[in-house]
Amino acid sequence: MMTKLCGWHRVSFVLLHVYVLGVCGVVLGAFGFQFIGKELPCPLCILQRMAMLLAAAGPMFIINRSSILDSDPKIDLAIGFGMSILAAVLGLWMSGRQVLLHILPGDPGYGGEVLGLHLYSWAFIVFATILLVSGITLILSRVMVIKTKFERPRVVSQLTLWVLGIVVSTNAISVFAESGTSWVLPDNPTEYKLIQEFKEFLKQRPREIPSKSQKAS
Amino acid sequence: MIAALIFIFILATLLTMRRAKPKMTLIFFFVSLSCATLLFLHHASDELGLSF
Repeated sequence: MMTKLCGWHRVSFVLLHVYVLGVCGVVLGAFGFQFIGKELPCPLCILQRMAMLLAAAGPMFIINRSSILDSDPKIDLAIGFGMSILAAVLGLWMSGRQVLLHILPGDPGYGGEVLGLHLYSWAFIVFATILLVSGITLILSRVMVIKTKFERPRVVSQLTLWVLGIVVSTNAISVFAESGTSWVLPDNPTEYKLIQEFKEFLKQRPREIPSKSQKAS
Repeated sequence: MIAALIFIFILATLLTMRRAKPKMTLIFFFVSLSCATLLFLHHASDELGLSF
């Protein structure tokens, strides 16, 4: 069994990690807008985050399979980038719709801007890039496939999986705080509904609970 | 709450990646993708009657 990467396999292995961490960086940037810029994400922004994280699950799958001995690296590469392409198409659909919602002249758009573009415009560019990278990697699959098998996952791979898992988990908590106990997210969120509902619950509670002696009298 | 549930499905996709067979990973991936698509259709249109 080989345990050392060489040549194009090393490049491919590094690029897969860069791909996953890059997507995590983009989602963390959106988190920065949410918590530092105090801009609550709309439902479409949340859906685009989901599509991005699903697109990152593809290369993460290929990285994880490199330490499973009886797996076929060519099939793993095809499945991983297939997952990325499906998620990126969905993301392009979502971000494209949001771009079209604010395309009329004079429309201020939703939320803040980064280098003159709104976050959903950047999301559109990110999804288009994911599609491009996935297509090129599949064309170059003869050289990009990782034939090396590791006995156990590399530390950097485990760290990448942890980073992606933490980003997904924090998104789940943040979305639950935003939607509260309602099934779907509010169209134009202005506050964390869960906190608001908790405050209302505390207000409705009786302030003083009568003691047993008071009840008897 | 549905959105939070989809993120949990994505987390499950990641957690099942260490298994020898990729079946569960693909199931969770497609469940997440389908739910995200349905939620998007719900938010994008009122006429489809996909209200949860």
